[in-house]
Amino acid sequence: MKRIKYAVYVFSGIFILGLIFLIFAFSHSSIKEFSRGRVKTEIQKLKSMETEFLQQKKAYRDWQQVEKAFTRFKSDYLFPFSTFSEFRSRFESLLRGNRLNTSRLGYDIKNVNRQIVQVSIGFETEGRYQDLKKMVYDIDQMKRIIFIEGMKFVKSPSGIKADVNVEVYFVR
Amino acid sequence: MMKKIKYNIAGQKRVDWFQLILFLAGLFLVSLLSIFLGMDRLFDETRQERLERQELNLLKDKLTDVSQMMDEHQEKIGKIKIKWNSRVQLTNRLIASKSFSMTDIFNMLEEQIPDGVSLSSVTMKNDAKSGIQLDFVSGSFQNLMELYRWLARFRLSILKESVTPKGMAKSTILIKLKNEKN
Repeated sequence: MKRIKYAVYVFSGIFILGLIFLIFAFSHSSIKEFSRGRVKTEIQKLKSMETEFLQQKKAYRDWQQVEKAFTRFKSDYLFPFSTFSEFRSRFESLLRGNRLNTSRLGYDIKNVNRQIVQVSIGFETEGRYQDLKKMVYDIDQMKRIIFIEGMKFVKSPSGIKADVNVEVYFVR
Repeated sequence: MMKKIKYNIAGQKRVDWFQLILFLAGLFLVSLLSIFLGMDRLFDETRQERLERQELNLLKDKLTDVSQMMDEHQEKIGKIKIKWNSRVQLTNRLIASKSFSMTDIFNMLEEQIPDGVSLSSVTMKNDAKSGIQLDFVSGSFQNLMELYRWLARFRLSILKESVTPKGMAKSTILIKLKNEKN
């Protein structure tokens, strides 16, 4: 009978030790988890630094390419200033081609910087709404930098009368 | 025949071996499970900690010279910006102006203006912030209300409104377009 008692004591002891170990392991883990928070924060900090570095590296690469991009923009999207007279005749034929009666056509030339020249074209035009819209569409569709800066139109006996300001950019 | 009377005169109860072994085995299994769970928790914790330390060291090694490089990049970007910023800004402005489509505005106005309302004048600039000023004439005030309802999806300001003695309604409004040039 005594042996049975001892066996029960031993097994109960093992059980209690097991429970104590389990509690210890979970408590230890919770305390460690808390201290691991600092490591995690440091990792996060370094990761965000890495992201910032990569973004800056990309920005640096882009800025290094800026000269090339600007040169390409000038050649692809600005009109060469040497073709100004050709541009004028093309533009005026565009207005005529759209059956608009144009008057007070004026060109104002201004240097934006040493290379780029801004030409403001102001004119009054009269005709049908559809023809005016077609002119606007034709200007919108041009690949190079030419756009209508401002426009005012009113009803007139022949359809509509408009004051139009167009801006064109040339490269020397 | 007379039934024999039996007395249990033992000092201690008889042991039920089956129950006892079952109880001790259960106790032992629970103890083993506790130890196993505890060990697993501790090892897992140590493994995770080791991985995080490794990751931290790796990042530290990788980013040793980063601060210095970032300063160098910043300085170089600064120098390029001083030289190119005005040209970049001009380019961006020109691209934005070219992307602004007046044809789209014409199309939008054609779709929005209801029957019975006519447009007497339009003023627009190549700049979404300035908005488009429109003068309308309508045979009735009701038609103007219909027009306002249509144009309410833009930022709409009514600048002037009048009704003539003959019942002709006139209105000057300003609309600001969204999603243009942002």
